Amino acid sequence: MKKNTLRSADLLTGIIFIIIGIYICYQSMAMFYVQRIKMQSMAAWYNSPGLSPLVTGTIFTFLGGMLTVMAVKEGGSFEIIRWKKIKKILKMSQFKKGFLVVVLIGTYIFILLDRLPFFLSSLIFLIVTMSIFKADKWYKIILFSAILSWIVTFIFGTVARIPLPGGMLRILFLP
Amino acid sequence: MSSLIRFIYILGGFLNPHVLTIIGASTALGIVVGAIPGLTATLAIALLTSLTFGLESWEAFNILVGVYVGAMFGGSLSAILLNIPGTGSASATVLDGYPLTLQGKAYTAISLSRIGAFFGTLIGFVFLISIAPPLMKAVLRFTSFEMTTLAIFAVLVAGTVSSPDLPIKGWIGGLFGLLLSFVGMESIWSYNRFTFGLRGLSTGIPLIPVLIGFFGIPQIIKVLSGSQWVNPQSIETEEMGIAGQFKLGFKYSATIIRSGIIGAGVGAIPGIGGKIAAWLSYEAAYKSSKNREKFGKGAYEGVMAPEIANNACCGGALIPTLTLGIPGDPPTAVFLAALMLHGVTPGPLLSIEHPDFIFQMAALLFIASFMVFGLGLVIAKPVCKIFEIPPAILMPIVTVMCVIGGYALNTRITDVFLLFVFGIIGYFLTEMGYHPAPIVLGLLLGGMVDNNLRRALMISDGSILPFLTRPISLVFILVSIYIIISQTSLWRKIWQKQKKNNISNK
Repeated sequence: MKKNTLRSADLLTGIIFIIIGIYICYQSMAMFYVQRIKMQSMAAWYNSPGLSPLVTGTIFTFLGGMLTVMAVKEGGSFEIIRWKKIKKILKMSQFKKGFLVVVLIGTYIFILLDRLPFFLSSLIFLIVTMSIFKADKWYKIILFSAILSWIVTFIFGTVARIPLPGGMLRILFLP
Repeated sequence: MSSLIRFIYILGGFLNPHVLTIIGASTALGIVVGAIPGLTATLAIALLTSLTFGLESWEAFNILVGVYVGAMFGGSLSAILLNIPGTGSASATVLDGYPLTLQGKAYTAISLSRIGAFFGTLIGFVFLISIAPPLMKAVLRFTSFEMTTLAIFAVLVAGTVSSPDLPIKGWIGGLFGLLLSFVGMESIWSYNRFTFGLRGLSTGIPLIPVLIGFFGIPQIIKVLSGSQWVNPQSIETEEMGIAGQFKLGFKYSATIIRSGIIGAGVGAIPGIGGKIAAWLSYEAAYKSSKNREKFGKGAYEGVMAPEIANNACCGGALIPTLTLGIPGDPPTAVFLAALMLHGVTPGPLLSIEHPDFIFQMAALLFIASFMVFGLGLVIAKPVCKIFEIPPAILMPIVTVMCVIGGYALNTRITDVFLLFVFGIIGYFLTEMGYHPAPIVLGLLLGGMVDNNLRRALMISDGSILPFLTRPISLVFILVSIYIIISQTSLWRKIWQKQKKNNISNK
């Protein structure tokens, strides 16, 4: 990332960190009051569940502020959130490929893994991902993916006895 | 002397093909498990404890020690080759290991890691047989005050040495990790913090899925989108000979001794483990190196130091486990349970009930260290062939392994969801110059900071004075303050002025 863009991103994240830090401090303060009501005589400021988050949140807010100031001093601006800049990033091939990878992994984790048996979901993920990124000839991809999915399922599911994730259809594949 | 003779006698008993085969095979298994992101020594020992229950006790112990030592070394392989630490202890190895791989020096990096693992395990072994009782006396002085300052110091160190952009980003990362660790039910009042009413979050944010998410997913995205990969043509073709490796070890003998002592010493503190040892050792190597500018870009000491420390930690962690019955780190906690299952109760009575047991463990460590070195030599070349596999094939496989690694420890699908979410956050943070290592270390140590800080304040009735009056705690505080001040621009200006003056005086 170019230094100017990096500092603009720092400015934005610095502000986000300040907001997170203030929220954590606010929640931690609330914990002091809740603890005082619930534990009454046993409650003291130093044994409150909010103590460590309050201290950490305060330093986090302070460092977020420092990051914001540093970013502004070194040329950071809000240009990064302008539509023109965003459009430019969206058009970059590296972004498109990266986004595709995120979609593929997201589909594997959120849709396939919880609905299909582990072997099947991994097989589909491997075939689709390798095909999209043109890893090899299609029959080799299928063969390779099938062997690999079986090995992983066998080693972790059968040998190591880890109950692998799988949805409703898993029962059909049980021995 | 009598201890040494007893040790040699016991070691002689272990030097037969049957025992050597068992230890060799289990060390190899440990290396493989450690190299797979998310599959830790703890998980391997836990799985093998049940699988080896039917075996003779000594056979089971051989397997468990072999796996433990092997996994500690194995974690560095994926850290060096893929920029994804196989175990948490290898998170510091990533800093210089992967840059060496990008420079085509993967063999050298693995050699350094192997030498580190070998000497580290040996130093741990020396600690275990020679200075276990006096070391335990010193370690028992670590109370909540020292634990708090040590944990804060470790997060600070990780933040300072790992940030590729501004040092402040490393500290923000460490604090972000600490904040993540506060999610869930806290242990003193069972109060749910930052769970947003979600029951799934009450158990907290698990370490392993976050570790894999922060390191693994960004790497997979970067490689598949074509922004970072190793050119197989650029990898060195010849590996250093054994003599050359020992020569290198001799050259860095100061690093070996220093990191070994840090590793074994930190390992002996109950509940700390290899991750902190590796970071403290990395910081010590950085501070004492003449080539500080090379750190983070492929410094040899940067690979060796954390590897020596986390392997020396094996012997160190066995000291409180065996002498007090208090585990030194998570793998030894499971190992402790395995010992009890086989009728060995660690603690002060161990030396009376089983007088040779500590020596038997030391002999196993001794043999395992040579196994790690030998097996490391054998596997170095095949594992470097990984770069001949096209990334379009390798990265989907790494994704499946990451998913399995994130899922295996707790067998919860929500852990895999968290892995993905933290992977995306990790990608953006790494693109903006934040290293994932301090975040992961913050998450790991957050519970330790929180519990010990409040426990310490309860003991002192709210006074912070004991933090300043207890010598060990004061040392950690002073060094932490020095680290913070040394990163300020004012300090750098003074330092540079001093340097210029020195040069002009010469």
